Amino acid sequence: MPHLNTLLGTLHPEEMGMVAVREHILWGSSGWEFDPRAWPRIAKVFEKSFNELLDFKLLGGQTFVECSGIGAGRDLDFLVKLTAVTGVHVVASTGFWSDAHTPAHFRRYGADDFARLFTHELTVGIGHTRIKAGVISVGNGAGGMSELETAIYRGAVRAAKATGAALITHGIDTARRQIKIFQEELLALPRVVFGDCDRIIDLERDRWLAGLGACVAYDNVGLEAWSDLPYAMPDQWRAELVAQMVASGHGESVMLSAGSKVANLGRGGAHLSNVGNLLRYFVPELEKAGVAQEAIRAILVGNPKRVLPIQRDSAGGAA
Amino acid sequence: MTQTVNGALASAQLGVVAVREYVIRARPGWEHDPWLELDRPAAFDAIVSALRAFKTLGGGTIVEAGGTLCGRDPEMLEKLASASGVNIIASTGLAGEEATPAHFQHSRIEAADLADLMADELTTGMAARGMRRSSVRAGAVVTANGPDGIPDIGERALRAAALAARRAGVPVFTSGSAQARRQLELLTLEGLPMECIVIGHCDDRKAADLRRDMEIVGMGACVAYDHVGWEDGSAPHALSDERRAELVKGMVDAGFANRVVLACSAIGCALGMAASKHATSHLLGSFVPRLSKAGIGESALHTMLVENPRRLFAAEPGR
Repeated sequence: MPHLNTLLGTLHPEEMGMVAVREHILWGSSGWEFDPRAWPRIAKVFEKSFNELLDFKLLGGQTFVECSGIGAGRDLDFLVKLTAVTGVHVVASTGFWSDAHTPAHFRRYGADDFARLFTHELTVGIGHTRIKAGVISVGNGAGGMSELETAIYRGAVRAAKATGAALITHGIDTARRQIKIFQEELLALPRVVFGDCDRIIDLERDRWLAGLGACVAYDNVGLEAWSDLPYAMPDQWRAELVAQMVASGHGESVMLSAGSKVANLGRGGAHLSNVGNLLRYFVPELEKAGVAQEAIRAILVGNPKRVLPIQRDSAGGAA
Repeated sequence: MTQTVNGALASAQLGVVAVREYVIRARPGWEHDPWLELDRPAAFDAIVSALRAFKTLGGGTIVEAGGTLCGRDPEMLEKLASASGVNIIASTGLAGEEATPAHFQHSRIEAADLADLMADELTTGMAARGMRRSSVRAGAVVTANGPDGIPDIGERALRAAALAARRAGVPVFTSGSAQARRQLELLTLEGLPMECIVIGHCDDRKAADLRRDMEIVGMGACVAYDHVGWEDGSAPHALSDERRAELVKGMVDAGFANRVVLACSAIGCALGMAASKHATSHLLGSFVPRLSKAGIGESALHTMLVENPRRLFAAEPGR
């Protein structure tokens, strides 16, 4: 039956509540573990994570999807304890974020090797544990989809089909290429979430993706002018995008998240925001933009509940 | 003094040194592979036996040349050295481009940053798993590059190796001898004296070149024929020991015994990659007898196996 794998075991979809679909605790490109100057003070990171998750929870949030994936900072022991002490349902993801986040050991993998690895993490456990990933999270770096990334995407699709897991992608610049791969591999689009849709604003693209049955995620909420990242923008713009999607009848295809990172495992380029801000500041921003309460609830609760749990039968049913 | 994993040792006590061996060898990220498991007790026993066999034949010290990224476990090296009675000199340094993770490839990490990282491993302690710095220090720097040029990261790694080696007073061992001239250029550009440089893998079948080797030693650096025993044609670099012995003989006959060092590049425990079919003991059990038979006398053998490493590891910090 449909269920969501969290760090502490399975969840009924009705237990998910309000969901932040794309967040990070620790985040770094592959190799950070070898560079002591990139290491955070782990006790401080735990305290900060604890506070931020409780903040999210006190504002009504219940489920937190950690999208870092293999090797990019996903730290099981850390996440298990964080889930247990906060009571927030933390979901780990399987997959590789991009070429730059794929460690050397896996760089000789082909699509079927990736599919086997992701399937194992979703159905048996991560590494040598029995702790299962809940979603597949893959992406590509700037500048198109490399050969390795193409194999990762194809592996992700094959694992999604084999397990019934949802697929969240990061790399909106390759949306058309992704759609082509999903169609070639016969993946039903209603189980796919295109992340980073507020990285390059394109309402027509988002409506096209929604029309195909996929979901779009505006998942950098709160990344405003304080950041020097080129895709920082006022939250008001994001809210307007959501309002326009809802107005054109695509509310059922929208998801939201803050894309927060508690700790950046690298040097410079900090991109830290807080998952609580999604509910504290952005929900009022949506109301200001004229999005109705029910539509907001659908976006934060209904859509993740429909799309994210592992389910074998209903794939394609919502198209 | 030489920094071994068990502390500082007078270089006169190193005895016969195999200058490039691998204890555990894996590509970065191997620990995320659910089908790969380090059977630590079994690996420990196997490695201790291999080291004892080397010791029984007269061996004193190995240089563990895996560097920072490829499966190194500082505390295990310490225990292996104690249990076997063979000195182990651990190494810091990056791997070839393919195995060097994105974190280090990023251009914001400059040669000076990498030099700090390596110098810390030489003077304070090597990074260990779990974001922990061990108190076990490296005593050599390694670098690696492919045959077709030195990429940007390789260049930064070589410059960093020179800076760190100067600071700590240790030698640099390169590999990828097809680029030997460029290696020497970059290392000396950063002020590393020729007598602290060992150009490694000069017995690569695809790059063996006796005239080049004579040119290198003419400049004052050492050359290493460090893949003794890798004869099997399944490895593209494999060369017969017969041919390898001819290279050594050529150097000795030309009067360059004082610039030649030897090793097996044997792998004690390979994780997710091909293991060697031979162990370090092959150097003294098989190759040295072959050299004797080829007419290389005791004193030249002693020079290559004992005196040259002793000189390399007797450098003082701050050069």
